[in-house]
Amino acid sequence: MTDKAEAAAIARRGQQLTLALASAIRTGAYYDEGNTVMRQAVSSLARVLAEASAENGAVSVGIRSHCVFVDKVRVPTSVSTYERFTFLVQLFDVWSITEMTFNAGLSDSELMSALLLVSREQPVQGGPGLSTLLTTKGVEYIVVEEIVQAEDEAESVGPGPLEVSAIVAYSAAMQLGGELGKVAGSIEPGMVRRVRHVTQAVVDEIIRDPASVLSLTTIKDYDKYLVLHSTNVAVLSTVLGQRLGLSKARLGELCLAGFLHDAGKLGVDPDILQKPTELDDREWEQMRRHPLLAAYALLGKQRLTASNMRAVVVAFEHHLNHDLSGYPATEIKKSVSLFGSIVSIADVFDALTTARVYRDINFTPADAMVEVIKRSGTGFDPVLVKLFAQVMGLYPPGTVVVLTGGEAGVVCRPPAVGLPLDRPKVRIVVGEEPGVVRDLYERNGSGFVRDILAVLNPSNQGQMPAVDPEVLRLLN
Amino acid sequence: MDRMAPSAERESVGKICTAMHHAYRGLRLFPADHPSARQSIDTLVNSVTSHVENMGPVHLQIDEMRVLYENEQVYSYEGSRDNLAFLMFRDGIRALSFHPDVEPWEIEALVDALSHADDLGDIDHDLATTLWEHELIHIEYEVVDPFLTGGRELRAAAIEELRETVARRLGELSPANVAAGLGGGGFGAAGEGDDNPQDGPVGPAEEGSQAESVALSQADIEMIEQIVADSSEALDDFAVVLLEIIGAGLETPEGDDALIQALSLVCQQCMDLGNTDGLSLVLERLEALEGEGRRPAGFASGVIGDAVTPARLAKLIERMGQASMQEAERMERLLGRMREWIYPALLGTLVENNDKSVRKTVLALLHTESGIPGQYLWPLMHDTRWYVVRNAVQLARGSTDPELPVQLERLLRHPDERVRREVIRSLDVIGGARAAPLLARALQDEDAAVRTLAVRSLGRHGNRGHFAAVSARVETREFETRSSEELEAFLQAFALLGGETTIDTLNKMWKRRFFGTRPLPLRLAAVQALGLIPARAARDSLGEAAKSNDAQLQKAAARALAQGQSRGGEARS
Repeated sequence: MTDKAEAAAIARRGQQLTLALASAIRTGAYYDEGNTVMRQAVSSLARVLAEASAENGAVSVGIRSHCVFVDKVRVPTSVSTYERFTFLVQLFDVWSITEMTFNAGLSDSELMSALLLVSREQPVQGGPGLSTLLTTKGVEYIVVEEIVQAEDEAESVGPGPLEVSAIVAYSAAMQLGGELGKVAGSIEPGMVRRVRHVTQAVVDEIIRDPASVLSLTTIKDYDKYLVLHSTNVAVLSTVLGQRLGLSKARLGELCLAGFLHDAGKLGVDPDILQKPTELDDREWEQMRRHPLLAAYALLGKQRLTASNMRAVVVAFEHHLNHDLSGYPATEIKKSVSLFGSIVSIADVFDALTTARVYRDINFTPADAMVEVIKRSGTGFDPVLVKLFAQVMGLYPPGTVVVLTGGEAGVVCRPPAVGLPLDRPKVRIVVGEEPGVVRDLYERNGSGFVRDILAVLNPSNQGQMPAVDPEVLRLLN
Repeated sequence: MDRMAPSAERESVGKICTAMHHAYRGLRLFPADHPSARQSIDTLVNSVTSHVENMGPVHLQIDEMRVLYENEQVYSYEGSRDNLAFLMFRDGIRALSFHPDVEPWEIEALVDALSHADDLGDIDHDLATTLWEHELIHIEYEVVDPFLTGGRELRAAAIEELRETVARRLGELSPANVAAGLGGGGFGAAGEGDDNPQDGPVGPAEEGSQAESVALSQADIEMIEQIVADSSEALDDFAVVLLEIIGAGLETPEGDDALIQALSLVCQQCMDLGNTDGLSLVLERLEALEGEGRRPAGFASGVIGDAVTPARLAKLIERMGQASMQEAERMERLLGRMREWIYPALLGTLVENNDKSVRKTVLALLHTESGIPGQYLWPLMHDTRWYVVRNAVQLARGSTDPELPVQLERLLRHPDERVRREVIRSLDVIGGARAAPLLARALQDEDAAVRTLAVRSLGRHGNRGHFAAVSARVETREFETRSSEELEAFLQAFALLGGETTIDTLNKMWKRRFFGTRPLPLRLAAVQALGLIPARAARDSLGEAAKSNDAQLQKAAARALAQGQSRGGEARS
């Protein structure tokens, strides 16, 4: 194992190479070979590659489990690199490759050819793989490792393993949330361990494809609010944490903390929890105790591991505002912890997007996002709010929108990383092609093919499911 | 039909399992960098990489006590202890796979996790979580869970429920609804208060300004990266939350037990890490809450007392020796504040620790004018080790506990003279009517130092009633054979307690005799003792001694006279 300083240097070099590669490929999508910008991007990348391959005669960039590796060393991601890393992961996925190896002696012209190929062309099903295409372009010093797809996989239709796994993980978390809701008093150690395993599965799915899991949080059912809420808060928190660049272990802790944040409600009178109308003062007084009760419940029988400690902290803090107003009242706290800040945003967002009988008008996800943004600085950490908006878009999944052209549908995916926040993907529900997904970033000359005309709130339910029900039917 | 693995493959997998077992045992027995441990790990790495390179991935099935490959047993071990299959099975792992390109560090991480699997229960962690946190890319494992990997019916029911909800909800969206929504009021209308959504959809202008308001600047990105890099340890946030909770005054069915345990753990970790800031914060909060009556008396001592063990305390004191002077002083002040709550640990360290500097620091912390409560010291006074008893006696000095003289009386018969000497010193501090009889008893001790200390103390605290005990020792034949120090002490006490009645005896001691002169030390001591008697006869005797032919006697007498005059001058003034 290399020592810390050497490891940090390797990580930095890996990051530099990954960013240069991603930038150069994206540049290739917009600029031609003769363009100065493109030439500069290529020569910049070539320099980095030459340096990286000097020692071993080659350098490889690989993708495994949605993580980037340079010469088999994992390159950590952060908020500033997330966009380009994600781009590279998706590009490799599109081309069905796991690794690109750049050999010493690679010329600028070969590199240019390769970059333009991957950025501008699309793989054709049944057609030649990237390796063959590179060869036909005369690229010899770049070798790719392609994923060999089994025959039955190639022919299968319906949901891929990706979507199945997300649904399985989510439904497992949902079921566990239901079991947790039946437990009175403190949470047994065995239960926490189960929660940990299930939340790890959720984290794995979020790392693979955050949008898949995010869409599941839009399946709101009033009767099951308490059961679903803990899962949704866990998911929303983890998605935000992933964008922050938290490590997998920290994401596991965050997901667990998000899942258990309302453990204190186990000690609150169920009649108060399920009251369909607004609470009176006495009832509010009881409700305000639940963060303390949650902390006690989690302290009760658990060993004090880092993850359990963070769960206690989050349970205590999740109704504390960024400016330390809110509840419970504090005397010595100087700030809300990072995890507490993340979970409080997720908690409020999920609560706002859940229809309540006592509200005259329920929030659409777009409304909820506006509300979250409004509370930036007082209620929520302003930087985290911005990041949350980047993750969810201005029209988060579950928003019902009417598009120019007369179609209406539900936002099913937020905008891809780096794209405008008001350009999500929409699954059409009302229109000529129900079920089809429209990418609002799709261009038509200098403009866009479609725009959002209006946001709807059908039956005053606020949020609509962003999941295609057919996917769920096929699973069964 | 189950595939039968070719024998070469099976044999290779068997070797992997054997190597894994040896590597596991190696790490259990030796540190990771020990040659034996390293060799066993290297053997495992070679066997795994060789197999996956030549024969492809390895998929193992984990049974309760054995490992299977292609339904054939490739590993088993007698009993559950040290049985790799059991370790994994117990934590829910049912399958383990090694894939091509598996890295040596991944294999080592796996074995390391296995070697610590038994320790994980103590911290409520589990093997699957450890492996998950390692992010092993080329090693996969399957964890059983009713919903994740089994329980088809349960899962199907849950997913069906989701599907129905989705279908029902989406059914509410129809062309009529869309038209109605566009026509008027289908989306949010203006409401009162903060919790109502805004009026109408967000138009392009508003979208634009919103998008701008949430755009991440470079400064934001740098701040985020700093937040993530600096994100506090779980313990720091946890400690603050606990300190908030203890002030909240919320009554719970389980009472304070969980809080005390958790806070105690926080203190333990602060001490282990040398985190004086954290420890100081905890102390301040505990003191404040007890002072305000918001926490019952004894709460703080319960927290701190549980946390501070002799071993932990010793380590902290050792760390103080390596810290800067400022930091060391700070730590010492903190320990001083905690002193009353950690007597058992302090005394335990004093008793058990071999490091002189540690004991010195502990003694300094323990010494106090009010002394240490007797309940902590009496058990130590029954210890079989003389130095333990000695230290306990020393620390008991200044105590007003009525039990103390009883203990000291018993210890006057202690076999070790060093203990008995300390007892005398403590009696000297006690003084008065409680100590004098015991001091008198000690005049017969077999140890000269004990006798000397006792008689000196008796001279200060005794009265006329104790003169006889001193006199009895002075008038023995072997008295003059004692050391000069003892002679001086006894004769001084003799003079102080007996006053003028002792002048004749003292005169006989210093004057020359016809047949054999007494030893010089005795004569000198007698002259010095005469100086303590404020009587004319004593002064006359000293005057006579000052004119004797013995130069040393002359000096001693002259000095005694001068001291007597100055005492007399002080008395007059």
